[in-house]
Amino acid sequence: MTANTSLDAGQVSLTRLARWIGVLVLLHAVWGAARIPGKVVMRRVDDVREYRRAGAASFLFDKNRLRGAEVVAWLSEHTQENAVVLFDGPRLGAMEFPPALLAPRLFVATRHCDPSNETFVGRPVARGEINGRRGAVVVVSDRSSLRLEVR
Amino acid sequence: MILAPLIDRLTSGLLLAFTIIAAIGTAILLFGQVVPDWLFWVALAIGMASPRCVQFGPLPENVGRWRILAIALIMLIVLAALVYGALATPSRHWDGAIAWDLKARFLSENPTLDQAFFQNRNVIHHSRDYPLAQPLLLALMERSFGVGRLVMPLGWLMAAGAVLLMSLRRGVSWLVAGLGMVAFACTPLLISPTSGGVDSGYADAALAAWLTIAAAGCVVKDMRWVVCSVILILLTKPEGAVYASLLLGAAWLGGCRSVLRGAALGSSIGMVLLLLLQHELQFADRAPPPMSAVFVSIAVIGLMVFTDLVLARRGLDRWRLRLAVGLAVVVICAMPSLVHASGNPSGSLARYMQDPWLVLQRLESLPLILLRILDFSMLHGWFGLTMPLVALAVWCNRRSCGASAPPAIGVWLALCVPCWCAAFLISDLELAQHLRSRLPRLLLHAVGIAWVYILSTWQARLRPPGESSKILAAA
Repeated sequence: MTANTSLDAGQVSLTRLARWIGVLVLLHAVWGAARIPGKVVMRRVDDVREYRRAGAASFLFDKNRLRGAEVVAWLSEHTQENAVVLFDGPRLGAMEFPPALLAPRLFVATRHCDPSNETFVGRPVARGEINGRRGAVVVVSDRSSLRLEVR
Repeated sequence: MILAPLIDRLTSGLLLAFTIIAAIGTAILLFGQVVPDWLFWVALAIGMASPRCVQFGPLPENVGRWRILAIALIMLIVLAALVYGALATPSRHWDGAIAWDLKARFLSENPTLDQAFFQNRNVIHHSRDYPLAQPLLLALMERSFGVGRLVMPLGWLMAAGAVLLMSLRRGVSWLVAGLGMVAFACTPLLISPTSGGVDSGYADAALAAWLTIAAAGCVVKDMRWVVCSVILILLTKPEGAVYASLLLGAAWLGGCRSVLRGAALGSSIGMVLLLLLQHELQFADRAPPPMSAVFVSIAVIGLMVFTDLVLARRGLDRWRLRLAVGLAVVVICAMPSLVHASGNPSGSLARYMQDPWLVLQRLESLPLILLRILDFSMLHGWFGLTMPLVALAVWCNRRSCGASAPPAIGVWLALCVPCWCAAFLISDLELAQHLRSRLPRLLLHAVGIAWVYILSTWQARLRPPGESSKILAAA
């Protein structure tokens, strides 16, 4: 009798636990569903609208508190799509974005490709004129910003 | 009712198709060839045409059709939002834009590794040695339909489908199964437009989806789900190697032989492809392939299957935990040698394996890491009520002596925690910043495993005992 009673008691408490789990699963689902209009749909629509308004470079640079979106715009306008663009400085931080935003251009550090070289891996090294100086275009990066130089 | 078999056909078919594309595509890339566009169509045809023998419980009379329609409507709205977010623009978040989109872009234009972006180490290529399943799927989808990023919401939908099917195959009602699916699929961090979310471009949500399907496969003993998802887990992100190993360990510890065999087959295929691909991406034929690391991995997996068989036959199951601890110590001690054998000491995972004993030197940071795990999983709303529910499910399983959920799932989930802690302890990055940027996505990986554990615990107490055992026996 005692064993049965304790088994029954265990069963009852397990059923009660399962009921609590059911209530919390329902609450979690309701919470998730309640977020859909504002956090899932409208925030996404706002993000997309802002991305299209600002353009990819400005959106990503502004959002991540980086400076140098205009460098991406200049390179996009003044270099060929198959060019190799040189850079100087750390490759992490702001410098991570130009290769993504300007593909299929390739980005190579100046220590691996001298600015006087005409080509790299069979592609032309990007050249241009800035402030009256002509030569290889070099993106100079620090962790949070980009600027352009001609070497 | 044809709905459940139809959902099963689509979920399992897409899973098999994605696995074929990822595995065969990776093998073709390794041989320096161009992945042909027809691979996508052939994989899709094989996936959809391959036979399935799955039985579902009968549809009850009082099915509550309006409530089921409401559940379907919620799923459709979220799916529409995710598809819109994925297709409207390229990735709007850091890693998605700088790493995953870029790999997919180069593979879309020319699906081969024989190009400077992959071959020349001096060209900027973020996360160079990461596996390429997601970019390859995106690239082939882009080349076939022009909507490559649709792969991301499809992964979410497949995971949600697997959770629904798992519940239905265990004999619960459509309403309960649907509620469980919505609860998992609407977990805030998964569907929010944020870093790591489904349409963010990161591979974390895809990894979470494959882990969810693997966990659901463990519960219903569906070998296709386990094998395919383990291969995808390994070929999606380097962390996949850890999660696949943990699944092997959990299945071995729990003596779940069918899961162990499925996971062993998937891990063997995935691990060989992963090790060779990572090596190729780092060295591009300039160094011999890491055959010793490949053989060691296969040998360890084979040893696990063999010892499981021996322990089960001789009734020595009580030795499993002791042996597992011993094996874990041996593997940890051997990690630096394994890294050396892999020939890729600067690889993404190798950095964490080179000196595992750093964990002991930095133990003073452990309380902070554990505190942040609790903080991120409970107090920011990113995971809703997942964590309290896991705690309740653990309590329920302990009271019922593990008769509620398959033990391997609980062990798998529990083993993730020390691995996450070790990753933060070993890393040289500044801890607070590293925790802030990385921990939410690590927790996201396990969200599907957690929900499969919660739902299988809960639903085990809902099913009428006779009916569910009949259905499971038939399946």
